[in-house]
Amino acid sequence: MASQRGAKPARRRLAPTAHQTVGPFFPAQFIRPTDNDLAGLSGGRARADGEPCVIFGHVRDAFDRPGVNVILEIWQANAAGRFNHPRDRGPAPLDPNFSGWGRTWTDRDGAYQFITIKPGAYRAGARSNRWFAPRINLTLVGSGLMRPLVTAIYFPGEALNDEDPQLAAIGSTAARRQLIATLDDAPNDAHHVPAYRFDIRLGGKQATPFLED
Amino acid sequence: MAKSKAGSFFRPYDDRTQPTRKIRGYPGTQKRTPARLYARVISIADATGPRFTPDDVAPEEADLSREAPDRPRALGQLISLSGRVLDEAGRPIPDCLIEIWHANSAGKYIHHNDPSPVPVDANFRGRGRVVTDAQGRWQVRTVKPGGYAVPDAAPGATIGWWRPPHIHVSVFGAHFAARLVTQIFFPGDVLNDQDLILNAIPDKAARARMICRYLPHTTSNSAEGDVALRFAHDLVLRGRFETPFEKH
Repeated sequence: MASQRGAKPARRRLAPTAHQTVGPFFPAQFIRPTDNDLAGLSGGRARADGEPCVIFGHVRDAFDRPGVNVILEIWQANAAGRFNHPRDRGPAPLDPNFSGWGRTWTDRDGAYQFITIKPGAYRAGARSNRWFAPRINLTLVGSGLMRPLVTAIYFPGEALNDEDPQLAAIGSTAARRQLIATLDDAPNDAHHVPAYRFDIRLGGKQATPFLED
Repeated sequence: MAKSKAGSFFRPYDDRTQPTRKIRGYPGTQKRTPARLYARVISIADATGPRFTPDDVAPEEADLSREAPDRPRALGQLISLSGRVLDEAGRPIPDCLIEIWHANSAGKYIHHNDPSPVPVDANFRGRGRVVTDAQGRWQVRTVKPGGYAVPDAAPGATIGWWRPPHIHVSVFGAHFAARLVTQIFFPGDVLNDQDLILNAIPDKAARARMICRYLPHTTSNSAEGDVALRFAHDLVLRGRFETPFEKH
């Protein structure tokens, strides 16, 4: 490299490492059985504050076939709207029993399930009056996905949905509606908590609205 | 593009330095790629993320070449792979959880999805987890993976190819938007130039950055009984600013 002797090295920006597909062989041992239970309903640790709920659905591909072996990761605020991270300096309280992160993968039918706490709305910044509606941030990786797919799960009936900056940026009403989970009145599992269905389509005309990464 | 009124907490990826989402000859990418992406509004939800500490992993998880310290090693070339996790400004990222997995030296994964008739190696752990230190450093020991034939999708199909030896890594960085899942390749392998997955990255320099570096040995080979061939590889995660989200 042609650098001048004694000259102060210029601060160079490093390019982010390129993504590659996670492939079909992600070790099962890396996903612990309780990683999909952020609320602590499965036992083994203290329950988180707030309204527990189930988020469930199917992942399907562009040809309506089950999205098998897709890894889903979620990240969300706690019931009070606070993210468990030092960069969130908002006034809402932290919950020592809520990490905000979870992970699971789809089974042979493409089905997945999380048990979590309905997140609170959160402000754009500590001194901002601009609000984001309650939502669960979702990242998908899997075989055939060369880059992670990113989107968010919203809740039905939230007044803030109409003002949410991300939903507003989606533009199309039909696409916005695809990001809002539906309350499922069928009896769900043994937890007896509200269950929200959020089906995911990876490709085709009916694809879930995924966000630029 | 991924921008917010608060400024650029992170910049959108340069598509030339990232793989194309669809790859001819890799049918899974055709089935699982949305036709379009929607504008993303960056918020505190992207600037925060799960946190990990060194206590989340056990020391023996840094050695993929054997099941436990008192167990025999898997067959193959023993290697050490080390590096740093940095942000775009070159600052080290501490407390990154790195998950690593790869095929054994014959090219077989420990996974029910791997249909290959290639032999398994009962001593091969094949997976590991490490957390970066205060300088962003990480290190694992393992055996060098073998290449393997990607099976054709249908009888008589001619779309299969050989994957070069590679190591899968999944990295949780300082925030949700820094999440990285990638692969590390080895220098000088003849299969690198024809791998559909590595070569889906259009930019030549970006492809070159996916290949780890061989480190000439600097210590006596007789210093210990199980000397590893050494390789180094840095991982760069997106993000460099500390912009607080208070300017909205």
